[in-house]
Amino acid sequence: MLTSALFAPKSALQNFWRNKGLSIFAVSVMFVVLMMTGVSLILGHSFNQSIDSLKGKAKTISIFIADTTPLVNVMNLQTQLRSDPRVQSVTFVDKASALAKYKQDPSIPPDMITNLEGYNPLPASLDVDVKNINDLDALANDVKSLPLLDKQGPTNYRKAVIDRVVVFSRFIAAAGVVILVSLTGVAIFIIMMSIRTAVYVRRQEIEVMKLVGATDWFVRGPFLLEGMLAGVIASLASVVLIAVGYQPFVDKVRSAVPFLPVSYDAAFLGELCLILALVGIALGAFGSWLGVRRFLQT
Amino acid sequence: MLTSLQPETRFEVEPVQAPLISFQGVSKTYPNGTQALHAVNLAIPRQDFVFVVGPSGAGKSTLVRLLIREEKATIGRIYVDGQELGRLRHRHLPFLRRKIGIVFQDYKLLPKLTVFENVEFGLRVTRGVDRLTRAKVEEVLSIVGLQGTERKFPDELSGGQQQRIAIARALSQDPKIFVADEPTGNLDPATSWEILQLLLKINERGATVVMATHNKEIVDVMRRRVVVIDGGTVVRDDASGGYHEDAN
Repeated sequence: MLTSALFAPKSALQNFWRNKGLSIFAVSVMFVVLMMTGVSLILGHSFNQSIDSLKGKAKTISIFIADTTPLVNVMNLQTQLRSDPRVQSVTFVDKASALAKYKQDPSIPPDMITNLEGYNPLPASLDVDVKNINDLDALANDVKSLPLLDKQGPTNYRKAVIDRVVVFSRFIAAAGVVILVSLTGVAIFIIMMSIRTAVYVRRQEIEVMKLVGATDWFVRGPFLLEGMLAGVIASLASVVLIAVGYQPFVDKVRSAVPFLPVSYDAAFLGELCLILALVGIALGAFGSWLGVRRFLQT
Repeated sequence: MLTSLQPETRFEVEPVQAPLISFQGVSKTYPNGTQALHAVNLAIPRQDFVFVVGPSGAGKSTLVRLLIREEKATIGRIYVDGQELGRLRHRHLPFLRRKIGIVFQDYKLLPKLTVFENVEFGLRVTRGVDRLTRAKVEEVLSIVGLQGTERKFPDELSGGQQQRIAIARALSQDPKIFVADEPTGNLDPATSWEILQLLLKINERGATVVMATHNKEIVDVMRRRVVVIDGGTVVRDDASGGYHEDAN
């Protein structure tokens, strides 16, 4: 029984080695597919980091207070807002803090900052964080007609911008799913074809196996292991390359596009390596199963 | 009292044994519309030796393919050792095949394996290799007269010897049924006779032998059961006949 159980792994290794050309081709294709999958997952993760950051910023609305409003009224409004179930937090920013913050904004030209010496046109504000970005619109509408607000612009809420952020994040998520599904389909097809070729090369052996009464699993086993072996080698190679390349990739993105809040995420790298290894093995096994299926039907 | 004087009578009734192989109204039509067999009825008891003869395209090979369940009957039922093949689940098919030793005209040997490994391959597939395997392989190689060729490769041997390897491989499974599809088709007359002697030996050891053949001389000399198929139907079934009806 033991020798029978060892037949599949031994046969898989032998065939993997004997059909070196085919094996290298299958491993290479899987490697490319896994690399593309890995890179698209990293890109997706980086986009998510950016989108999360944008959403985080977008979830904050500044309610500008008229300079003439007594502080007690502002505090009352702050208390009122804090009791609103849609609100996460409320922070009061006085006029001096608003000016200091403005001066630190790198996107503001220096000459504009110089012109502000001894003069503060910025209003005080209540910066409100909402729990759900979709509540921003209603909250902005609720507060905009309050008499204590700055008449020039009661809030910094820009509906179009928020809508774009939401649509963009949905588009990125959908595009990611489409790319991953397509890559998976391509990988399965390539593995299926290469295993089908391997099966064709060994059709005589399979025919004899079936004639003498081999079970389907006995015939299928070595091919499944062969596909899984190709998957393991390809995923190991892609995991190593991605692990080595992730940090330089993040550094490059940050230097090229400094405003994109992309950062190195070690926990994500661990998850990614595990996903690639499992995907590689699963693709190899599933592709092989499809490849050998047709030959087992009689 | 009269009854007590009569000797005790015992009736030795032999149980009615179902045939080992039975075709009941079997027809086979291929997907392209070709009807290969039509309403075939055939019963083959245990340890029978049957020649299935007929011209090319008569349906002999289809009959063999149906018997080993490489094909399914379109109409009718086929029973092998009590199992109806039409109802046999795909996962049970290997266990049917283990009851049937099969040899073909083209031997179906693995050229990269030695004689010993070719025979061992069958055992490896069905039982795994253990300490009894070597003895079993040596035993069947001795039955077919191939002792001393264990380390040779098939292409180093003659056609007759290659067919013997195929027979040894089939024999190693201890099959109840031995199916030979044109086993002498590629062999000269002398070698064909040697193969036939081997099949007779296998039959004497208890296996039922079904041999599809074109070989008129062998069939005429052997005077065994002959089933003649022509145009997909059984046109003659003689318990002891020749290739042609006038040879009876």
